[in-house]
Amino acid sequence: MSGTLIDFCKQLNPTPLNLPEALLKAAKDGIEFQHHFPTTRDEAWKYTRLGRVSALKLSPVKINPSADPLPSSDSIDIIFENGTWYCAQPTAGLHIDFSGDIDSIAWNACTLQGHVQHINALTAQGGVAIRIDANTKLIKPIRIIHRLNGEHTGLILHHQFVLDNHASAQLEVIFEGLGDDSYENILFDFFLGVGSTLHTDMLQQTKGTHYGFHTQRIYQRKDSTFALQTITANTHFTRNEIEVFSQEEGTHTQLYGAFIGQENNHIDNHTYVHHMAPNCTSDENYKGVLSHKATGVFNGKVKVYKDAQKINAYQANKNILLSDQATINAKPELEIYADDVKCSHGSTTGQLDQQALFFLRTRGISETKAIDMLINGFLAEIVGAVKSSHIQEALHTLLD
Amino acid sequence: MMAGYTENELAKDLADREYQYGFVSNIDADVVPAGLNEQVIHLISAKKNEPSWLLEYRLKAFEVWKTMIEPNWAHVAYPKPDFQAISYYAAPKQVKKYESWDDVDPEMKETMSKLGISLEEQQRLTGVAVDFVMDSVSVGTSFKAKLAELGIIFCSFSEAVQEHPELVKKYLGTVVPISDNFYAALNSAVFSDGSFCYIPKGVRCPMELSTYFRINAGGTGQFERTLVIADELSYVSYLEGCTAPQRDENQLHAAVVELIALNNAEIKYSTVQNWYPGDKNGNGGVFNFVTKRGICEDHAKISWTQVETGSAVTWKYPSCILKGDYSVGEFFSVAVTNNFQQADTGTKMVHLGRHTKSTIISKGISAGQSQNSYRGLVQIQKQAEHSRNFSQCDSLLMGSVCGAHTFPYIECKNSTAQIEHEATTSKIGEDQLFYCQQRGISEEKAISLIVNGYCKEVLNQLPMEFAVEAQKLLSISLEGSVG
Repeated sequence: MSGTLIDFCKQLNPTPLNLPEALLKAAKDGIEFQHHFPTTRDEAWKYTRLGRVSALKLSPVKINPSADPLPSSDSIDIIFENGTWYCAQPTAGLHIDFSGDIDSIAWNACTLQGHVQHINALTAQGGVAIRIDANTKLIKPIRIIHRLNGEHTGLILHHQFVLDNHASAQLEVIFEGLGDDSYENILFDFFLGVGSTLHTDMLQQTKGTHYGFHTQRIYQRKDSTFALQTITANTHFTRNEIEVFSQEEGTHTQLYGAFIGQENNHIDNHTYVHHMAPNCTSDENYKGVLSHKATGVFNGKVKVYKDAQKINAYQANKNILLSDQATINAKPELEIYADDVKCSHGSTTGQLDQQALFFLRTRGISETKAIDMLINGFLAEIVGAVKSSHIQEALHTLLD
Repeated sequence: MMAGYTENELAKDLADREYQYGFVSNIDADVVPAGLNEQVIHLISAKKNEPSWLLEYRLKAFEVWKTMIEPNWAHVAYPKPDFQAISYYAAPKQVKKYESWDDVDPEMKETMSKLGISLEEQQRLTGVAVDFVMDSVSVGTSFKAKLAELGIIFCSFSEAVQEHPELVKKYLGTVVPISDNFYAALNSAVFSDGSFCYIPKGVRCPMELSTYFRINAGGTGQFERTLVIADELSYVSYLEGCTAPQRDENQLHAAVVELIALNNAEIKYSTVQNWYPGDKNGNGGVFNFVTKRGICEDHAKISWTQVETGSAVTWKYPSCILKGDYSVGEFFSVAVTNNFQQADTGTKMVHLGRHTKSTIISKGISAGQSQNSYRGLVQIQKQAEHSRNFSQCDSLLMGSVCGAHTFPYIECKNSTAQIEHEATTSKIGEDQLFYCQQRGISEEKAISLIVNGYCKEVLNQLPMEFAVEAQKLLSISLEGSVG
């Protein structure tokens, strides 16, 4: 029998961040109430087993606020390397803070859902707080790289990204390194002010028997635009939870994702879009390619609240299985309480088109190469939406 | 002239629509006191003069049921029934065999004619054999002799237990095991009666077999048990229709239907469900918690078609286990909810055999303050090579206070399988209406046209006789109010 959630938290970090009292209490109560890690009987974890995670023996990562500044490059770099933060000089209108003092205004807007967020609230070791002033249009992209090597490490971070009204920015987030039997629980809170725009590309490619839990919560105000491309490539275990709160009119949300799994990889994508206000659009597109014994999960949910009329929500999930041992579990959900909406979803699962493969082979292309080409084509829609040249390059090496 | 008839007016008409088939007939019922314990099960079994293996089956189911808790994952909210407040057996007192049609209780005849499905008429005009279930015991079975000539067995479940125990024993609980779910376990413990049908090898049943279910005595739960077995190379089309009289307190209906299609057999199972849905304020109405499942052997086919317009709460997932190679499962559904009705319905297609195919077409229409959910599972097991699934779930919303939800589960463990799922939710589009009107079609005609076209795919699947009934029901709720 594996340990309880309380024991799990104890080994991580006994001194939590400066959170509002009520939230800490909520997290504590949540953990105590749930007591054990959820099982597959729990709807949210139906396809993802946590037995291995609950048995992990971890030691927390020691965080050093900040070392010498990084030299300037084509992006504003923030690098987290084995516990130390390195950061480039922020440009005008951009504020970066590592003090670990999470903006309590931001926190108060949040409610905690599920054990991943509870653990994060109770044991977060730090995080970056980024704020962009009103009307600031950042030219250079912000790049956050997490690089952690080590065994039995437990890394819990809570990042915050606030865009003031009419600000716009581009963000790249990269997770890499090697972490055997390690645990990572990274939470991002995005606050998008009126008329702001944020484009985010995320690449997850940590190696080793590493267990990654990634939560992104996005709060959108009037006329804001948020785009997120999540690429998960050959990670041992990844659970992505993305929750969008479209709180005011006129927002647009784009959630794209590609997950590539091999060997015993388990990649689980959960998205939840709350359409709370009228006249908004959301567009979701997730594609999975699974080989060997890999398992993929896609659970997308769109909820249209009462009176949130004129919503246009689209959700697509397409998967390719390359092996008989691979598994895909898809659950695209719609929950709709308003009538004047256009919501649709589609999900397909299949294999590579044998005719297309044959076509390429007749032209003298080797089978491996042909398969690569077809997969490249399949993922092009998602990869093409990635703006970050850094991530594009990494993907080209990966897919070739 | 109904020019200017708008969708809002249609929605209002829908809300004002009273249940047409609401009435209570006064037939003396032999009712067992409320409550559920082993004695009640012994009593039911004794009253029906059942063999000991069936009593053991019931008692085992009761033991299992006691350890289970009521499921709450469905997207419905309702006061949990008090299972100890329900009477588990009601049979019309005069259970003597009717020599001729004239011997039938005149009041029962009256009931049937109010339903518009007079047995005489059915017999004379349509050639449909009707096994009419009044409360829990079958009282009228027709065309039996004609069917018997072909070796087809079509009778009430209790009769089958007495006359064909070997068939019942062989197949009962093989598709829906007693521990399957809370309501199936309850049904297995206390089922009162139902229909039994066996089609022998190579026989194509010449007529649609039909059962009309009715709930009659107040405070009596109905626990129907249906078992349809199609032997190799046979074909049967089975119809099931439901209407119930108006009631104030909630009534529980927990039926189990098991279909068995052996090699190369085909079963077509059609349902029109119109239990009492509760009044305009959401009072009363039937709770319909049904477990329906069929198993297909090699090259067999099971096709479920349902038109759901009634019940306060529906919890129903007609499913197919595609066990044999090249077997086919189909599910066609129209679910209409109105006022405070709640429906959580869909299907499960479990692909076990190679080259198995399944099709799911589900159309939901929500009006008033109702909640209509599709919940389905498509599961491709590892050995199910070259399986194919296509699912389409559309929802139509009428009025701003209703809800339409889709919860599809897709689980694929085989790389040669091909699965497609698509779902849409929308209201009758202004652009669609505009398009029609632009071509000189009046607004009410346009709405009727759109709704009609929306359901046609499913209605087309119904057998002729049933299509009439289904269209009647739908026209009351939708098309009729418009045209």
